[in-house]
Amino acid sequence: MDRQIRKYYRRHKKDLASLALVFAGIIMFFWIILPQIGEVSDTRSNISTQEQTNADLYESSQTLTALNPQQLDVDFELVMGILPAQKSVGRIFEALTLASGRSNVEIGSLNVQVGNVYSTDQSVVQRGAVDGVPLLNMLVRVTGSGTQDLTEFANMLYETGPIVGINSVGISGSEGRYDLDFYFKPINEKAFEAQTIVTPLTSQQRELLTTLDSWIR
Amino acid sequence: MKNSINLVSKRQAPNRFHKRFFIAGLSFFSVTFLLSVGVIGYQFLLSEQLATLKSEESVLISQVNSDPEKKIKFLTIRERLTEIQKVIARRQDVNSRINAISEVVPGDIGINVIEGDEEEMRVRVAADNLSSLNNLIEERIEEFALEQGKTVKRIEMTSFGLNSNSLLYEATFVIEFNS
Repeated sequence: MDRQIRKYYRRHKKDLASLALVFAGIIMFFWIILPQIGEVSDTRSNISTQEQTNADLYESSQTLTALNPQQLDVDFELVMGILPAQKSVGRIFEALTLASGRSNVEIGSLNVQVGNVYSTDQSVVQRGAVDGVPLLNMLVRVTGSGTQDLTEFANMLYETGPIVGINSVGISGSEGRYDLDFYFKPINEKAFEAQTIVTPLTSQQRELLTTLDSWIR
Repeated sequence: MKNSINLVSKRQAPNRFHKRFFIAGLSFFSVTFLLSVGVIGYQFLLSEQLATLKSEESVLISQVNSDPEKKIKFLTIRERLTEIQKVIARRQDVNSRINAISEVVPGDIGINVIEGDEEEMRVRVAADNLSSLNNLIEERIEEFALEQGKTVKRIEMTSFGLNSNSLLYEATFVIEFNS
C-alpha cells in the first residue's frame, strides 16, 4: 500500500504544483468570489434604499424649512378646532350655539348618549364610526319657526367644528331632533417625534384647509 | 527490437503535458485571484459609499428634528386633515336628502314631519287643496326620483286622508335610499 502511494507520488510529482493552483483557484471561487457577489448585490440594494431615504429626508427638511411659522400656528388652531384632541362638551355647545344662531333656532336640550364606553368586541361598531377617530354621540332637540330653519340648522352643523356627522333627523312642525356624532382624536406626539419623513400637504389637503377656514369665518 | 527502432522519445509528451497543465492551473488561479481582488475592492468601495450615505442620513435627520415643535405641529395638521377627509367621506348625507325633499314639496304644501336617516326618510305633508297634493304625487315626486337617479330605491305613500281636526289633506311618504 505504502509502496503504491510512493509510486503514484513519483509519477505525478510534477503536477502537484498545478493541482495546488487549481485547488486554490476553486477555493477562492467558492469562498471569496461567490459570497462577495452576494454581498455586493446586498450592498447595492442597501445603497439604493439609503439614497431614497436620504432623498425623502432632504425633501422633509426642505418642507419644514419652507413652512411659515405664523401660518402654521393658524392652520394648527384651525384643524384642532375642527377635530379636537379630546371630547369637550363646552366646544360642542359652542358649535351648536353657532349653528343655531346662524339658522335662527333655539337649542332645547342636549343628551349625551350613554353606552359604548369600551368594548373589545370589534363587531360592535357605532353607527357613524370612522376608523381611528373616536366620537361622542349626542341627541339634540331644537325649536325653530319652521321646517326651513330646522333644515338650515342641520346644514350649519355640517360647517362647524368639532366636525359632526348626522345619524338621523326628525323635524316635526317647529321642533327638530338630531342624532349627532361629534368626532375628536388625541394627538400622538410620541409617534410624531419619532417620524422623520415629512411630506408636504397634497393639493386636496390644501383645498380642505381653505374649506375649513371658510367654516369658521 | 521494435522498441529499439522507435525514434520518438517517450519522455517528451509527459513534459509537455505537465507544462500545459501548470500553465492552465496558473491561469485559472490568476483569474480567480484577480476576480477576488476585484470583487473585494468593489465591495469595499460600495461599503464606503453606504457609510457616507449613512452619515448623510444622520445629518439630515438632525436637520429634520432641529425644530421638533414645528415638525409635530405640521404632522398633526397633516394627520388631522386626513382624518377630517375620512369623516367627511363617511358622514351620512342626511342633510342633502332633507334639502332635496324640501325642494320637491311646493310652497302651498306644508311639511309637517321629516324624519329618518341615510337609508330611509319619512315625510308627512299637509295641504288645504287636493290639486296641490295631486301635483306632488303625480309629477314632482316622479321628477325627484328621476333627478336622484340610482340613489332612490323606492318611494311609497303610506297614508293619505283628511285630518278632521285641521281640515287639511295629509299624505305620508316613505323614501328608501340605496346606501
